Amino acid sequence: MVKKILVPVRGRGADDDALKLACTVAQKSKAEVYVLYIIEVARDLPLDAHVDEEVGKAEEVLTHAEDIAADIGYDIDTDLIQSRDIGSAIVDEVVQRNVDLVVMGIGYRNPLGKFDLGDIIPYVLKEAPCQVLVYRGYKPSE
Amino acid sequence: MQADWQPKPGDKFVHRPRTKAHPLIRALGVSGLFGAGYGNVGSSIYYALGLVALVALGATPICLLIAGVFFVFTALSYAEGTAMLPGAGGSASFARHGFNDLAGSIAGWALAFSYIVTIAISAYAVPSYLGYFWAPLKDSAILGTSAAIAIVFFLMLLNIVGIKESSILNVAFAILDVCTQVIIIVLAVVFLLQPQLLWHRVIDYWPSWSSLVFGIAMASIAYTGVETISQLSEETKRPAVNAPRALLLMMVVVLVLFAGISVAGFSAMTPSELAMEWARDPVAGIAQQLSVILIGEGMAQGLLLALCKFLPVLVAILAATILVVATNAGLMGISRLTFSLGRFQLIPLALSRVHHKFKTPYRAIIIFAVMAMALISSGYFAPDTFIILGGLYAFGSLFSFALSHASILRLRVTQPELPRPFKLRGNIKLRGYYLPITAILGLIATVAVWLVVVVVQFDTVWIGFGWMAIGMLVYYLFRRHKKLPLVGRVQEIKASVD
Amino acid sequence: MYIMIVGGGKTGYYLCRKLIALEHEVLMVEKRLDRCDEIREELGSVALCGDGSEISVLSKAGISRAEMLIAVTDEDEDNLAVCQIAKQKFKVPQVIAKINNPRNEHIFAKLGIDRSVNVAELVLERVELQLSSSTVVHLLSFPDSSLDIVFVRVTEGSGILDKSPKELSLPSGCLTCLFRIRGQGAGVLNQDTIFEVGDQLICSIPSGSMGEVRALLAGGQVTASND
Repeated sequence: MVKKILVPVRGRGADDDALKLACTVAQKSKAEVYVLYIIEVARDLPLDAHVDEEVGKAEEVLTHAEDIAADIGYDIDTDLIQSRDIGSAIVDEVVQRNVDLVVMGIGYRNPLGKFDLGDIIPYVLKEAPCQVLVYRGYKPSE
Repeated sequence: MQADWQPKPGDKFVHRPRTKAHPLIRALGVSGLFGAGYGNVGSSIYYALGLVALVALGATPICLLIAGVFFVFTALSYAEGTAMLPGAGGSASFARHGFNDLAGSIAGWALAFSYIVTIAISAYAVPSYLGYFWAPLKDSAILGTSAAIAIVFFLMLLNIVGIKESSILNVAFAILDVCTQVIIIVLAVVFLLQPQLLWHRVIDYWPSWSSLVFGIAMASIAYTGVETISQLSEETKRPAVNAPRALLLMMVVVLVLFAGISVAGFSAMTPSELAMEWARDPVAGIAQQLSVILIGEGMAQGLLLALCKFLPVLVAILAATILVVATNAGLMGISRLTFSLGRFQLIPLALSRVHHKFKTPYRAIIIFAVMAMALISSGYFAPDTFIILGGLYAFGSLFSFALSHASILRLRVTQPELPRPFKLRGNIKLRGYYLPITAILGLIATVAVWLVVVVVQFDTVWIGFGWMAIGMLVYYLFRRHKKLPLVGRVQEIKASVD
Repeated sequence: MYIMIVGGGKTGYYLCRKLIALEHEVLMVEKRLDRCDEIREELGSVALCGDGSEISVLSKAGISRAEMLIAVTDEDEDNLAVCQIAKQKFKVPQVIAKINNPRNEHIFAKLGIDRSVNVAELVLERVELQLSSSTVVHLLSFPDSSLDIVFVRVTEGSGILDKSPKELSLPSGCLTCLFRIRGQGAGVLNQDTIFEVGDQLICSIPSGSMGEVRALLAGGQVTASND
């Protein structure tokens, strides 16, 4: 039974679909959905530094997520975390909140002609102690 | 599965609390806070003076003075409370921390009630001032009541759609208002003040004892508005510093102006005139009288003459505007209040549910606006609507003030070590605890006056009690449903807007 | 404190672990990717993969706010380069280097990197402590002082045997005996205590005067010490 779902977002297009998917899954068991934005703080700043620019962007992304959820009609909770590493922050949240499922979205990126999962998704797939769902949207037409 | 997962030693995380998706977020300074607070307090002189005169006749200045002293006590307690616990909960927040959630909920519902009556009474006074331009607005109860209801309805729609409250506008109005009042006071003092005459007017029209005390109760509504500053403390950069400053500034300005205006009032006309003709628009009356006397006796020349001619018009427009702004402030204050009460799980979060398109707490706005309109509608059949509204206002606000004093005192006992950036001096030591005298006196005073209101307005106060009863029922059902304790403090929901 | 460690070998790794346990913020800069991954696996996101002797890498690592940098690679040239950049360019307040080859110690000193740890010397000192023939062994140097703390063993034929400090009339500060350890107990020395065979003493001497002290203990003349 999925009781809690975590959806990490970073302001890319795939986030919306991932969130919608999470809400769809959540509906069945009335699970709680948390949307998380993680600010990766550069090493030349202390971890609790106020990075206003980033925080502003995070607020936009999270507010947008709230709008999407409101359109579907599902209640979500949002959170903002600062960390040195995004992957480990996701895993930590999973454990802290006792999350059952992580839903992450990935766009069909093709910058160098190769499909690339990046660093965060493999890390979460490897380390997260719960179920993980990676959503990849449609391939862009040629 | 997850129980044996250990975080890696070098991994650290910092949680950032989210700024609320609140449509009225802005960073206020001391002036912004003052402007907003004054908008509430400053507007009440436009009807309170008449209301008090209606009840206490000659003793009006005395009542205002005594109520002013109580107001100082209240402002001081709020200053300590807001600096200690900044947040949009105001006295509900103090009660919650001082006692428990149940007390917080009671305080919250009482606050909500005074907001509703603020909306009603401010709107109710507008048509009287506008009567300067079209007499039937003031003379006809039906027209006046309908106009007031229309105003509330219009503002309700405006708030649902969502307006940007302009802090600059607030401050501008506050300054304009203070200036106008100062002009009136100065003119009255310079040209009309005769201590002998004043003294006679006070003595000759001295009321009965019960009327005197009830007059103090009515006078206390002139000073409500401390709550606003406390509420807005969350939206200012350094609440612990700015809120007390704004409160103290407001305290001084208000006391001086109210003293001055009541002196001006009694210099310009007799208490009975004030009570009979100008109960609902006293400042217009003062301006009118000033103008008449000064021009009539040829004291005014040139610039002064022009000023005197213009004064009544200025007052009519200014008063109407300020009262509309106050009505609106009431509606906005209600939405903020429901947000914070919902966050503390004192009322169902559903009440503060936000419209998906307009992003405003439309449910709260509609409910409370409708209640205000219902209250105003008593103007159709009750002859003394004004006093009824005044009594209900006093009922709600005195109750929350009393609860605030009690909470401040209680917090001195239960949490003496909590940082108090603004700590009241003048403490007495009781059983090892340091309790501020102002809070003790304030508590006694507000409770006493509240009791007087309940006794004198016995037939209409049931509305207030009924509201509180509904509130308690809602609280009980809601907490039961969410399986939360009835007494005892619950975690604040740091969730975003629904 | 924000502490940067350059060099992800064993020394660096255990240093890192210990400093994290002491609640400091630590970052390791390590060249080899596989080693970086291992460190991340064990300790979390505290490793940056890159060459610590490159300014760009150090910048990215946030050296501008580092309060301490410790260079513990296995190559003295790398340690030297890192320390120089840290001290000269980024003005890191405290720079500590591990010196692998004792012969390089003076180079580090010459370039102003005064806090360095000569590993081979450390091991040697520990060995000397065990040897019964060694008369004086360096124990501790203080960073901002010109004193060294040394261990002195009084042997047969020692120059200070059967005498007391007063009798020895040494130039002041030449050899100040602080404690005597005998058997299970330790006692503070005074001017009249007589040295006996088997005494183990903790003394302070002026920095760099090990040679003179050794000579004194061998029975030579007492000369005014000069550094």
